[in-house]
Amino acid sequence: MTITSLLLALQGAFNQGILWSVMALGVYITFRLLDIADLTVDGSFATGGAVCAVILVNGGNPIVAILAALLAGCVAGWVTGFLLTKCHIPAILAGILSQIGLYSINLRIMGKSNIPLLATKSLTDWATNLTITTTQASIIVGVVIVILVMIGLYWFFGTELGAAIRATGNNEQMVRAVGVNTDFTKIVGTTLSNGLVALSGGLVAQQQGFADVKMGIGSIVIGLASIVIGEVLFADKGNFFVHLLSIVVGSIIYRIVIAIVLQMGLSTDDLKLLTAIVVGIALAVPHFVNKRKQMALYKKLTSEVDKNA
Amino acid sequence: MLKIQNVSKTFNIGTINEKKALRNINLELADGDFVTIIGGNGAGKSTLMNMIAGVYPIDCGHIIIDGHDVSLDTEYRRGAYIGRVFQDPMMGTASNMAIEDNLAMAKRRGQKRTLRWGITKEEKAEYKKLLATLGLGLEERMTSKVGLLSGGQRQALTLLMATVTKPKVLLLDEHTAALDPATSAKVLKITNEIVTSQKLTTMMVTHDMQEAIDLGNRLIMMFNGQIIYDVKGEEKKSLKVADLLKKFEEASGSEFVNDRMLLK
Repeated sequence: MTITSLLLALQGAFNQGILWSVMALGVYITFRLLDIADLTVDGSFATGGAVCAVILVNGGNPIVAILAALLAGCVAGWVTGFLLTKCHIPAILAGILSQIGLYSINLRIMGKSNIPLLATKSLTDWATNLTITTTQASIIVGVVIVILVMIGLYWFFGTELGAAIRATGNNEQMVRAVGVNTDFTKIVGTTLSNGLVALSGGLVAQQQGFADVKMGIGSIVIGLASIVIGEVLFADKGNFFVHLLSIVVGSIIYRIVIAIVLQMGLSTDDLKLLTAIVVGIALAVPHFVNKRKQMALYKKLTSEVDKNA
Repeated sequence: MLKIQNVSKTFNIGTINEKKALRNINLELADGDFVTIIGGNGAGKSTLMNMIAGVYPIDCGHIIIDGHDVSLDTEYRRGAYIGRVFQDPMMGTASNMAIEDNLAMAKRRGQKRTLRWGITKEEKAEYKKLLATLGLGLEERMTSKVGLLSGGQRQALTLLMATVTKPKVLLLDEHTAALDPATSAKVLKITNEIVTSQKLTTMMVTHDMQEAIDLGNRLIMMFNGQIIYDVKGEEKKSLKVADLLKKFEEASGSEFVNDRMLLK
């Protein structure tokens, strides 16, 4: 492995991390703020890619394409929220229903299982006459979009409605007691979440040059990985904006780790297993560390009292 | 202010676990009434509170708050009129959010949640003053997460949140039962100050008979889903715990022995 190829790989990983971080920010809304594991994500990510691809191959504007992807994701999220609240279907099941339904819908949108985006317009067209590469241009586009999304989320969750959504994940009973419709806050949460997930799907489809009906598989786990890696690194410190930033950093680090293990010769077929293991470990480690600490403290203090007895 | 007309509730209708929790309850609270409610376990005290708050639907009858018939309204709609403090200190606050954010949410009771900023500068100053009245030092910890507070502090904060908008009805469901005696006394003192100074129409469930006699202007005893004793004014002031026990014995007969302990 040469240094240049590694650097190139890292640049690509950084780019992917940025574009996928929008998805992770969406997952954060349901997973951490609403305290729901929303599995719609695997479907809505591909929906974003599908909508974006169809618009692009029909000669559409790339900005319109990703905004349409965002809207399509919002609709998917709304359906999950509706199933969850008005139909009282448990969160996991509501998400699975949407996800499985979206698979067919995504195929309908695309008309086939894969759409290549080779001769279409893209978000990085402005850079063709400049001296930077497409990847670098894509990074710039990604960074701008992620910053806009972060500012938007920071503002939204500071508003009255946003605060009510945060509180819903914390203590639903209390939110209803102060006169807020928790069905509504949950629906807004899942809608917004899947909108961001689909936006990310659209961005990724443009960057990788195709949309595929299977592109969303495992994205919920990648989202969780980004959140958990960010939380471990930042140790849950800082205000809400720092928290959002930690997720973006988590997403980038996840991609860099993947790039490094691929460079070291790991097969892409084994990637999903690796991701599952990484997330499993990251979620479990805090628990084991606490247990060990408590055990050590018990042994220390007990040996002292036993000595004095 | 609060009218309850012919309200009944039966849980698990038609099954072997059928339980008539409320039997044709009729009750009218005047503006500013402070009612204490006592009764053994399973008497229907908490069920009555939950029916008023809209946690479960009632089987029949009417609940009218300040002229609005809320019998079929959802819990959150009734939240516009009703302030509540629960037995469990964890229930009344959002633990991951700051003290000031919790208050700001309660301050918007009954209002539509808009895209305006969740808390203003003026509000923060107001909450600081309000928290200072508790005498718990919480005014210095406005941005601390509520999860860091003790049970007593959380109940005091919940009390502020329940009353900051001067609700039409305040429901206190054994809100000091989970606290140690000293903290319980303190929260009770704060409760009495807020309720009397704001002249809030209040219903307070308690297991402590002396407390039920000392606080408020009216006392209700429940048994087996019914109101069996309703006393106010001078007659209430002259009550003794022994009188209440006797009343309870008359109503419950043989079950008295079992429930006496629970009533203290």
